[in-house]
Amino acid sequence: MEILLTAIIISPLIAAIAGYAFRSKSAWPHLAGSGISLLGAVYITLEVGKEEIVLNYAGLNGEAFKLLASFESSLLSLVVAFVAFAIFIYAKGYMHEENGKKWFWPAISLFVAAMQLLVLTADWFMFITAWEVMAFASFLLIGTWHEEKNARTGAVKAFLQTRVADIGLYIGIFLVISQHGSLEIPFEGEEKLSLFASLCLLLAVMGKSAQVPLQSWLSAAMAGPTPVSALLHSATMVGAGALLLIRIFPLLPETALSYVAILGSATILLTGLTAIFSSDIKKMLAASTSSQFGFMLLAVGLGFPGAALGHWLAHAFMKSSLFLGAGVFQHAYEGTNYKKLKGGGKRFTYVFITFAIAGISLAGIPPMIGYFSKDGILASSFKSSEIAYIIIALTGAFFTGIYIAKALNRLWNGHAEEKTVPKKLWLLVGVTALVAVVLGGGFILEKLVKTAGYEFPKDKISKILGLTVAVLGLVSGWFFRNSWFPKSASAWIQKNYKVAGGYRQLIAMPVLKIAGWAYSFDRILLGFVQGIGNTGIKFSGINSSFDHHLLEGVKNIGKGIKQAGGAGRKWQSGLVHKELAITIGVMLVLLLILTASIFTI
Amino acid sequence: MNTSIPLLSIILFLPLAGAILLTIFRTAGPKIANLIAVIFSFLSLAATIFLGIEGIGEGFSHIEEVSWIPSLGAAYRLGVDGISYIAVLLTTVLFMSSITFSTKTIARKSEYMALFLLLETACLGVFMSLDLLLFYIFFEITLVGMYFIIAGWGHGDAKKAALMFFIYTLVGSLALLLALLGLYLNTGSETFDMREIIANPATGWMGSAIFWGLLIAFAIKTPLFPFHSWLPLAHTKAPAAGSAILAGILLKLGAYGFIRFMLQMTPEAFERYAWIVIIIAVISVVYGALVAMAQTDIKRMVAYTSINHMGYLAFGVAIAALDYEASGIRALDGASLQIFSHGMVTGLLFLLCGSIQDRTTTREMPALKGLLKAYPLLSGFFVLAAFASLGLPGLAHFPAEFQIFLGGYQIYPWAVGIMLVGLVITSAMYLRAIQGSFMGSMDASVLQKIKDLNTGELLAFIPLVILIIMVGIFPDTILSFIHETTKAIKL
Repeated sequence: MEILLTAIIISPLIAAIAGYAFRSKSAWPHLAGSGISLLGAVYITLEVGKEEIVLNYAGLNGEAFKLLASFESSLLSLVVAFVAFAIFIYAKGYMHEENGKKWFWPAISLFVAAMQLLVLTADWFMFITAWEVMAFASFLLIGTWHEEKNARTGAVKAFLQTRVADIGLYIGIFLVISQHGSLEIPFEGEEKLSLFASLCLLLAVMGKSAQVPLQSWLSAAMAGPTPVSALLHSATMVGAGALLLIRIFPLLPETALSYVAILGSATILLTGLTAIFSSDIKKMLAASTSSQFGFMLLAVGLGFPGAALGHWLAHAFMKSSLFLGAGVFQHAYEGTNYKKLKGGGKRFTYVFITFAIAGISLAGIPPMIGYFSKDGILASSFKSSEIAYIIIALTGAFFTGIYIAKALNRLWNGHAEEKTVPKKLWLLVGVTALVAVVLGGGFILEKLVKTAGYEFPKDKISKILGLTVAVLGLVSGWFFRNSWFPKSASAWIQKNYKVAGGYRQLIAMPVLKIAGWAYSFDRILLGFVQGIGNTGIKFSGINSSFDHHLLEGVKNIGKGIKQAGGAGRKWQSGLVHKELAITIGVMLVLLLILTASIFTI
Repeated sequence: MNTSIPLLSIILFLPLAGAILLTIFRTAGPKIANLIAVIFSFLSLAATIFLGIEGIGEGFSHIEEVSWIPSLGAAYRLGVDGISYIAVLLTTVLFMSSITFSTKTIARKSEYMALFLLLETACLGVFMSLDLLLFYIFFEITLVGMYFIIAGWGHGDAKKAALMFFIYTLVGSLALLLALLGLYLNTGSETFDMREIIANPATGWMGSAIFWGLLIAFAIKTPLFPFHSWLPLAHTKAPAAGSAILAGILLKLGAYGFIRFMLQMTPEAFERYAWIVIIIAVISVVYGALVAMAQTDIKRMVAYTSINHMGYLAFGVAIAALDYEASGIRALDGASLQIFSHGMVTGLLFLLCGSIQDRTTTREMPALKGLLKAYPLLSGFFVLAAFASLGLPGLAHFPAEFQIFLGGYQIYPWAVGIMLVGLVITSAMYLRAIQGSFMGSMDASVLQKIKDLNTGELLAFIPLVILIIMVGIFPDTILSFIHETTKAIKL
């Protein structure tokens, strides 16, 4: 049993190492690694109903690290493994004619291994490790095609923006550890965290789950291959943030929860608008991810982590299917802008149908999985009976309908050429596996969340209202035109509300400037030290001609020794002797001072 | 714990024996020189590993004592505890790698290798000595050895840099000598035995005076802001393996001094002035990261990050001085592990800079383009080492820095906050370098040869890479030695 538990994490890791070490382009080891991982996760999930599995290993200062397979963690692990495996199958086809396979495969296997570790670990040390190794792997993956400038900058942006937010993770975790006195992740807590610690952790969540105002890395990350986006946005990376929040929920004080809810609300609305105004299918999906994670934050903030978990699970399948579908169109029409894809849906009807299923599921139409999970979120807002949150949640659902319908409209209308996509079967198998869950998963979602030990909120009015706004959204989205709004406004929204030149102007440039100043200061310091040295030589009273004679003398002695030795030592020049002489001289002076100082003590 | 074989002396003098052999057979050609050097450094490493398997324990063990100058109370005393064992292990590993690395291109092989082996003995001696006088002698020999390596095999105007290095650190040694004499006189029993001095640490105004002498000496050696000017200069000119040793081990003499001398021999004064050390450490962290960011020479950039990392280390030791029982043990564990981690990571980075320099016409990052495409293995190692250096969890620096921060946060939360910002600046700096010089399409005009790493280089790098990952994921393999000792330390 323990072996299977470790295999979930280790097998993709081994694939990654082997792939890198042998510089192999082959996808097979990685498919095998993630396949074994999936089998392990299936078995563990089935077994864990009887009792939790705990595995202690290695450790820090004698305190062991821990893997824990509870129903919740093994369920998450299963979802991660399943989504990853489907995406791997897809990627085998997708990457067939692309560059950078040697780079892509090991990195994506590492990525999956890190996410599995994050899900299964029960100690903070390995949690941070998984959290950041994942960021490293996503840096590599976004940079897969690093010949292109936006892939390079996107990779750096993704790593740095999340790294800044990780300051919060570090401080938050230090506070949790010092409060609980051990590395173990407390799943239950009598004693709540302080507001400061909660906000620190929230900062980390914001960075990872791309919440306002740290959402822009996510659209920059689109420069990576589409399977990467599919994985990054669904069950991994972005998902890690919300998972952290769900895990620490029992420790969060009331006051912190309202911050979580407000942050989630702001993200739902702002990034929802970005998605609506996007004219690029991948950018739309990216903004939509932020918005959907905003829903999860809102649910947690309102006190219903179960609803957030449900939406997390559902979203993993929906968003990955959407990305994989978009990837097929991207390959066929060599672009992701709606203009290029116009009418592509008619040529690839099967893919279009899967895209539509996942899309309307995201909008919240039954009987798809998204209906059930979105309903949980809406019900949470109704339970809270805060009118503002109810309106925001409904508006968010309405926005979702709009951007999905807009995408469907752009894909369906217009005329496109007949195109073929290489290795299409692999692509379709991957998409189908995910869409199957989107279609059928809804019926067991509530049971799963409840078995994991959470409450799944339900409300009658929310069901009716939710469905109404979703349909309204879909209808208005079908007819939506950016031209209804002033151009400057829609451009600003598209660019993620860039303020005063964005991060580059606000942070990167000033830091570089300060770095420049520090370096100038460093040169002044060096000059100062050399100045002291020179003055010292002047004051030492040895005048230069004497110095010169002394040196000459030593040099001659040196020559003598060299000739006597006759070994023909090949010093580069006689200069070394000069240095030696200076050294000896300095040592003598120092010795003198030393001796003098000893007598004065 | 103590066996009849004088294991420490064997480890200590194996490299010296190699150096003597090399001088005898100096005409035998470079191949023989390589062979002798590699074998002797390997034997020393093997003996060190054997020593670890035998066990270290909490206090000083494997003690060897031979009377030397009885009238002064000086003797040939060797011994290791967990902290110094880690330093010894680092020394033998890194010398082995540096020597293997140097087997290919270096001129005047036998002299070079002999100097390296001599330097290894000196470094080992510093970490093993339990006698102040012996310590001081080894400490000075390291200086001389490094001086000749930089002056003899450096790039460009190396003599000036070597001299600057020598004189600057010699000034530090002067302060050290005074402080050591102070320690000697303070015990009352007039002995150079470090164990006795640790048992009766200096207090009062004498303790403070000694503390300041030690602080100046070790702040120059470590180096901390504002005593670091010699470091970038020396690194820019030094040969790759010399840089690796300089940053990987010679800086650790200072770090070791912080722990063994300042913390253990003048704890009272350290506690009083810890806030000053903390301020210096915090400035070093941020300043080192910022100045590194402004560099265009890749090797200089790596050199400045040492100042940043040593800042974390000094901070950890200062926290240990403030409140040992509650959070100090954790911080000291972290600081001691940082000795090992920084040695591995920065050593590897400098060797890699050497490999890059061998293959290109420049070290200027704006001119370097697309190294990943041209040399995938070399660049892969560099990216790994760079991420280790910026503190990526799963790699060597993280367990060290994690514990330093965790220990420090209880006492000086604001300092930890600022240092975390330093972590972000370091990340940005390495990412800029990777983005600019490693990613992208390759620019053939600055690349000389198109061959990726050769066997010698691989043999030098792979052990370091394995250790970096091992310490990151299984920190206890190294940390357990340290923790055993730190638990038992009474301040």
